[in-house]
Amino acid sequence: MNSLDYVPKNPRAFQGYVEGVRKLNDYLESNVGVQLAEADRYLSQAIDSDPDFLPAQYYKSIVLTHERKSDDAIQLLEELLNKKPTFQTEVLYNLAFAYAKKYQYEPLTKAIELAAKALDEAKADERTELILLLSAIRAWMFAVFAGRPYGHPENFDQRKREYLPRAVEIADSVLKDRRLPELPADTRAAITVEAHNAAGIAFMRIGQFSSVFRNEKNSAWQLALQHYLAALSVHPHDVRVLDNISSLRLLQASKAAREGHTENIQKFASQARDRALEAISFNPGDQFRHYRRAQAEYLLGNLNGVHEAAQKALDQPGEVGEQKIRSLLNAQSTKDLAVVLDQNLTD
Amino acid sequence: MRPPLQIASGLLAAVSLSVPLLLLPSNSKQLASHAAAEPSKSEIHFRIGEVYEKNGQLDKAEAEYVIAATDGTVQIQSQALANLQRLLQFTTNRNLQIAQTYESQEQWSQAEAYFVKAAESAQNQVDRQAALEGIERIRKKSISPLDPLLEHTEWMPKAGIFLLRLFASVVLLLAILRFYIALQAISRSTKIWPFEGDEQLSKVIQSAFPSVRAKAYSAVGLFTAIKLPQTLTTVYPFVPLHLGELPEEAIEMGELKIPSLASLLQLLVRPRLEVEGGISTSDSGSFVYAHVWRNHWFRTRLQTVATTTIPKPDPNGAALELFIYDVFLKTLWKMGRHELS
Repeated sequence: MNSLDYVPKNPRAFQGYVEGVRKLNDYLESNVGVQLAEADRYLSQAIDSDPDFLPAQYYKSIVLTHERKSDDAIQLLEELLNKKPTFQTEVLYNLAFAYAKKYQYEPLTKAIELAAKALDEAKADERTELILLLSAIRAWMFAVFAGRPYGHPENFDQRKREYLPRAVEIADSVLKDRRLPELPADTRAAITVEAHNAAGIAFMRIGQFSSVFRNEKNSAWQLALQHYLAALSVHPHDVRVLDNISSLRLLQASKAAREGHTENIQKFASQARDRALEAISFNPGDQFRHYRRAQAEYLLGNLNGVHEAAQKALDQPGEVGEQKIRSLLNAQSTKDLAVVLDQNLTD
Repeated sequence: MRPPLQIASGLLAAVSLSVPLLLLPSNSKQLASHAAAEPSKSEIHFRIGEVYEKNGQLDKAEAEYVIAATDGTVQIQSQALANLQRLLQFTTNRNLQIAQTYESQEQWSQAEAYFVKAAESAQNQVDRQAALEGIERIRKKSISPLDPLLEHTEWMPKAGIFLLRLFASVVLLLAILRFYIALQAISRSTKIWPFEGDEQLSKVIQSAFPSVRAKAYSAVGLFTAIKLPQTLTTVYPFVPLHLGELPEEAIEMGELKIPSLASLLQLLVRPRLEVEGGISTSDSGSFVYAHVWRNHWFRTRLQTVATTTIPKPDPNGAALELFIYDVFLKTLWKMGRHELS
């Protein structure tokens, strides 16, 4: 990006921009939520001081996405895209990511489309790092898109069959790409984490829908865990991976509950709760990890823990949905396991 | 070796001066009576040669015999030649003896010299052969087994000199290149002069310029701590600060003495930008202004002016930081893109 295309009009805008990017970088390294809030504040200062300073808007959109404020991020990125910045591929990437983070059918479809467009542009510009990152993020989108019905049960099975194997295949090809080791360490780490996370989610869903993937029935969850742990070995504070491990453990606990394996319920639910708490310790600003904790506490029979976690989930932004959270918040006991098991169905 | 004739003529002159004085009678009658019995010149030379020979002065004797042999009666000539031959034979024998002595002592150069003399004075084939064999023997003995190898390395000293000259040229070129780079660095640099009015705050402002610049670079420049693929690299080409990396010591070039390399460079080229300013302090805070001057060849013009009021206290130096960003950005706006590349 040519810096001279985007020189802010006043020093306050530039100061806010520099400080905001510094805090965002700190957050990306540590995943400590306070830094994300500070980044938001500084970048808002930059945009308020100079509304035409596009790099500040770009970084603000990244912050918003990480804050689970997808709609705000999408709005900002769409506006940015209309201004045709010189860094359009990066904007497309973040716009796709923001749409996907809504975890809804149409936005996910749009996200996949945008990621494909961004990938084409990255290939045209021969941007190796973006090509690999966009490939990994597409794998992640495929895994997410095929992971839930999203109000479209009519094509859910088809999505599972089509997108989950593709997600695994793409993630694997990224991890084996000969260009990957040649990239700078931070870039390589970001792509590796994204690819392992995508493969982990895909295998988690393959294990969940074992009636569709009979051959992988016994190995899928083990592979999912291996990929998640591989991602954590690169970035131990990655809250998205920690959330996904929590989800995997909840699925395992729910399956154990259905099969009547009491010991395994306790074992897997404890692990789900611990991973959720670990993610919350880094960044509590996401209702999903509080919701996961509430579900785990429910399976462990800790009603106070359920209420505390559900209340915190309600206070945070996210895409879980109020109804699901309230069902836990209003629970009088933890005897009716269906409250949790129905949200963690397995074949 | 002097030619015998030359030696002989020299001797003749000497003998004409000395010998006749001893031999000549004291009056003219005696002179007339002696004139009839006076020996010939060749005879005199022959006699002198004999005297020299007796005294062991063989070179001189040889010279006299040569003169006698070239100009005299047949009898004198044959006697002189016989004596000459005897002398040369004696000399040859003596040279061979000396050469062999040196050879036995392994003093090869001296032995070889005497064998050469013997070969030159040899009167017969046997002696000459002995001398020549001696020369050959000496040369073989004095040749080291490493000599053939050394012959192959005779080019090395010249190659060494060539390499030294090449090295000196490369060093000179590097020095010129280094000097050129230093010139370029200065011509693209920004010099922050001390601000007038408040020495303490002036020092803070001067050190704040590079620190703010480093902060901006570390976050949004090429040296971001985290460089993810989606990270934008926004290189704001704030002009580099004065490097001051050249030695301040005086240097001498022939008879020309230059106070320091840095001062020489300053004579040749000036920083692209120079920031000077002042501080006016009151109870509530400090009014600070900065003039940014642009040097271009022999011309200097005011590029921009930045002002601010730094409150007391200034938490985290935020106001000062804003002032420095203001100076940087205003300068950035005023300068063309090609100047910042």
